[in-house]
Amino acid sequence: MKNLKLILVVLAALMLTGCWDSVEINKREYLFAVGIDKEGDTLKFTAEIPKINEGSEEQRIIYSMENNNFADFYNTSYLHSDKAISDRLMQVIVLGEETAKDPEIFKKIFDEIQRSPQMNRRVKICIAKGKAEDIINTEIPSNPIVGRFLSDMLVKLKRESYQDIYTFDEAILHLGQTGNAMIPVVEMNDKSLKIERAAVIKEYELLGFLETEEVESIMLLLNPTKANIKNINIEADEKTLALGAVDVSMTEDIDLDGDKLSVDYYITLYCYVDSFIIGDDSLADENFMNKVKEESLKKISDTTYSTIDKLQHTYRADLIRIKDDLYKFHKQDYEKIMDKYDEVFEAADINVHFKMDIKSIGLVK
Amino acid sequence: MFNQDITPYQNISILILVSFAFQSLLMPSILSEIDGPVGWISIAAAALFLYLAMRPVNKLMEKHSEDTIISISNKLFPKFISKSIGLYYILMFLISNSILLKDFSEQIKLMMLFNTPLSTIIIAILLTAGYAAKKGMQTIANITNIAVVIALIPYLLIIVFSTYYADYTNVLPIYPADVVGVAKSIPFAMLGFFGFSILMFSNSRVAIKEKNLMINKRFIVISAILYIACYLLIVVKFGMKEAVNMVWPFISVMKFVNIPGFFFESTEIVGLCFQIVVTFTCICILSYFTNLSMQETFKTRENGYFIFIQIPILYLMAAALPGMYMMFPYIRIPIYALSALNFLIPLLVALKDKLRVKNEELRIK
Amino acid sequence: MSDNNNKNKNQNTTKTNIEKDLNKNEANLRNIFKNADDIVFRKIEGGQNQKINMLLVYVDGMTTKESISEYAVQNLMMNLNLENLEKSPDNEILNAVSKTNIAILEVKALLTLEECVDKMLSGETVLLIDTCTKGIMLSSRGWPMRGVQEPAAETLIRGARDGFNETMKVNITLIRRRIRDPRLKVKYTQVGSRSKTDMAIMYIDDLVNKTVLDTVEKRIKNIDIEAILESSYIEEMIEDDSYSLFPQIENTERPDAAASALLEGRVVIAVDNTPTVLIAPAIFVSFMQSSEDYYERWLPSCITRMIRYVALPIVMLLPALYVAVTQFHPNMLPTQLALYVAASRANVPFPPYFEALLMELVIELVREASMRITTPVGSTIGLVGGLVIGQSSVEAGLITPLAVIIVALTAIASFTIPSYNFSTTLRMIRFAFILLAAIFGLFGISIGLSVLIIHLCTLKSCGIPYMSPLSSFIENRSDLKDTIIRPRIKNMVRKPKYLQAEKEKGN
Repeated sequence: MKNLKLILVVLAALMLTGCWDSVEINKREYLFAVGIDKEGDTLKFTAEIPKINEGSEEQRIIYSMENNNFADFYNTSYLHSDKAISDRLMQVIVLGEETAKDPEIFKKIFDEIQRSPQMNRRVKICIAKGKAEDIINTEIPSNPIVGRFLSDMLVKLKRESYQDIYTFDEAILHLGQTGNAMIPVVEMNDKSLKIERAAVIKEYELLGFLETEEVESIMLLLNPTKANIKNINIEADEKTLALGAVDVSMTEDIDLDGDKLSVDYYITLYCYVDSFIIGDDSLADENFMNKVKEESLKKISDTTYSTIDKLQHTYRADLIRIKDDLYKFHKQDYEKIMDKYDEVFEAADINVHFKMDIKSIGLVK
Repeated sequence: MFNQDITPYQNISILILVSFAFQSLLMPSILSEIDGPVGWISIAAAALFLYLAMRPVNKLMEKHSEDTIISISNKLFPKFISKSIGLYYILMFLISNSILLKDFSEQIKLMMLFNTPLSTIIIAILLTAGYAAKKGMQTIANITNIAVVIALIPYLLIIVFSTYYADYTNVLPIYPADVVGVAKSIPFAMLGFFGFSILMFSNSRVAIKEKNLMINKRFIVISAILYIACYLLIVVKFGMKEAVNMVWPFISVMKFVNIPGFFFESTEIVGLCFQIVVTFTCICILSYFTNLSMQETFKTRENGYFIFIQIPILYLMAAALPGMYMMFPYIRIPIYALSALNFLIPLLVALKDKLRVKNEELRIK
Repeated sequence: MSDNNNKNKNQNTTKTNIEKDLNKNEANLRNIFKNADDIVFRKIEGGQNQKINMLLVYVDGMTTKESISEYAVQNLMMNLNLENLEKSPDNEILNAVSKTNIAILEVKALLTLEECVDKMLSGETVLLIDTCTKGIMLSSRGWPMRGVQEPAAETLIRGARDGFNETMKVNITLIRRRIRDPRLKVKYTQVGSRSKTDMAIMYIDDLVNKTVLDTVEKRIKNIDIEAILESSYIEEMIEDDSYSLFPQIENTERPDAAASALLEGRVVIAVDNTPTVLIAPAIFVSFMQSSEDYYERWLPSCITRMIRYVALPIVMLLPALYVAVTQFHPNMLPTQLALYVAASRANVPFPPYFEALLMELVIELVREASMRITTPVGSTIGLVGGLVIGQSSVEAGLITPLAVIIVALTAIASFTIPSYNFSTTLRMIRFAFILLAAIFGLFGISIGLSVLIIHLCTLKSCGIPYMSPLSSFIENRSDLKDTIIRPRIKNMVRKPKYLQAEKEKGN
């Protein structure tokens, strides 16, 4: 009898409460991609929602609204649709170029994403060259849902070490730790989208863009074990040759003496030959190979040094995270120059010493 | 009620489980008190202090093998002091139980049931836990053992997988350590070993009392390892700067679990389900020991019905407390006080017992 | 009910002595068995030269008449020599009759008419002799019975195919054949004031847990009921918590399972007229074990057992998980699946919990119907229920295909649980979980799981905690090797530690 009373009380407590959170799966609309553009004082949100009815020609709905922030956007969308808007399956957030150039708005957006319990921090992030609205509106025949397309692409790029950041979480971690981040840039490309370049973000402000080779160089310095350089095209003895590098090993030597920062990277590249000319057997010739090595090293060095120069002087953004290493391994010295790190970085002496080893020439001689 | 015996390893499961719940509760405090990822030093220091305190406390409990700390203090101290000690333990259990309840309900509300009122969630947890607290020590020990096997261990195994793209160098720099910060957070770490207060009561209920010292020491070691491992996991995943900002680090860690081949998207919900079982068990255990303290303090024969007094008190305290984020600035002084009292009261009782024995010996001579 | 019991008790306490006058005894017996036409009274005159009147009484249909007429009546009529006996002491006559003239193996002296009646109704023949105040029971049990057949509910691919039948003595024999140890004890008792059902408590003397044995014996002694029709009556009356959904006493139709239980130190209770024996104590993991695990090879058996343990949460939780995930937490599904499920639910009028409950109800209806229906038509039910109803409902747009898959999977998983009453329990729990999931989503399921764990930890089976060895898994870690996997035969410890623990604590 005692048990019965308890059970009744429990049941009453449960049943009388109703199910507040119960919304059926087909009564929800999922935002897959959101593009944020700056529109005067407010933001323009462009949302992409996949249609759940199969066999329909148009597989997604796109709409734009001007709102102050995400919460406002959800509110307004809620009133415009027969279904409940849900951001729990959000795949990618695209920030427009103008939005990224405004640090206040950038910080506001990032704070909101960080604070939201529903939005997964694993949502992918990228910056649009131009307007995010155009990116979201792109019709890609092979994969009409842009959110999924971009998400898959970013996962692939991160895995193959083409890009440093692919999720919002990494962006916020890097911005928090070093104040700098390298966020992928998505651009329109014919009937599709491409992610080749990266944006330099410093203190929540977009400073500029980095080209493909520059991104490659930075990835080499950041993550040498997973890095791979594709396609070093050189000309030696009027013959064109293409090399690629895998299995990079690197050692780093940081020295901070008062205000003088000097960093030396020692990189060994293990290369393979991608393409040469049929019938030409110069690959057996050691002199020729040495010349090839010289040319390739020169080319790589040039690109790397120009990238570092750009980082130091044009952007003053430490994207190679020397700051992080200083904080972890030379904390006492770092604390002295913490406040004027930008100047120290600009004046730093960063050297990269390359060594190359051609390991393989492929299946034919 | 009179013939309830638990085995030594059930005892250790109870201690470890309760400590784990409080460790996850107090983790943000340890993260934010210290400048740098050296919180594990304060955890290790707290563990050392408690380990050293084990011997005198266990000697005391061996001498009065059937008694809990309150009964022992009844024998040794005048009525006023022993009643105060009893009331202190009752209050401490009630406060910690309600904080645990409140914190956990907030997590559930935020991540799983956003629109459900908080009071409903609190009542549901409270009624379920209250159902078990009446059943006695043996049942609770059985439940704890099963909870450890089916909830705690899978939970820990899952969160290990969040280190997929983690940066292990985030645990540096260790030197120079923020010694003042480490010292300040030792009381927080000590309170995380909540089992130290529980074992004052549970040791008397163990069937094989000779093993108590070994079990208690093992509890400190295992709990410390768990605590340090969790701390390092959070630091490794997020880095110090980001980890400091988090209100619930474990939820944020769970969001990043990336088991290769596992298809669930929102893994924090899976983790929370395990944590529900763990927290339930902890609330049961704490309610039971509150009952026990009330029985010992007010000298009643039975303690089962005290749960009916506890339920409304816990509900009101949990519902009235402000959110965790608001409490952070105010809980420092209470935690220092609680930590100190938890540590010193058993030692004082042990000291008094030793003095009494010495006095008796002198009298005999 | 209690009045009747009191009356019965009074009836049991009155004793009518056997008179010297055979006619009076006959009259008394005829009075007791008035209107019972299947009771046969046969008067004979025994003795070669000196004739003495004797009366044979038996129940037609329960005795083997040939053995009585050949080994008793013939000798008594032809060869009984009463000449050199003194007329008065009837002991001498009884001795002469029983020891030298009756060739039946089991005979017993009866002191009261009530004893005679009891024995007769158990299938024995009663011999009353004029001038003797004691009667003789001649063992002549022989009623129509089912032979030893393969157990219907517990079939194996490899293993013995003999199963218990309704005769208790046969069942005891089947067990004795497997354990030829003089320490295997069999204690007979009778329960039921009207049915007087025979019961046997079997245990191995040096292996059994004495506390459990005492508990079982005490509880059986305290049973106060009119009739025991099946062993489940006994089960309900001696278990620790009959309100609980979970069975605390195991039952089996297989002699090898019973023998295995005895060798573990458990107590086996055989009940007459029931082809199942009870095994006490029974814990959670014993309901997940099947004899076949020990007869197949080690590694496949381990995997089969693990599959069974995987089936356990599927049986309880899968429909509830479906409801919780589709209503409360759709973000848990991979994106493709979430969209697919949303698309398939677009035209379905019912919410997911209603779908789940409806399909579960249909499955239960099909299951009940297939139990009632005779075999030739039985297979049609599976077709009708499964294919037609399921398929048609999907096509009509009443439910989604995913719901059908989930419910079918759950039904199949429930058949992997070896113990039928345990799987019934899990089915009932499933409904509760679906309701909890419909109200609170995954939080509700977790609450349900917690309540379930609390309840299971409170349960005891004859004093042994129900969740042993999990609930003290470090002390009893050697028992863990027989839970999710099975140990190699040479590593099997016959006496699990959880059965020994009570011995240390209690005694």
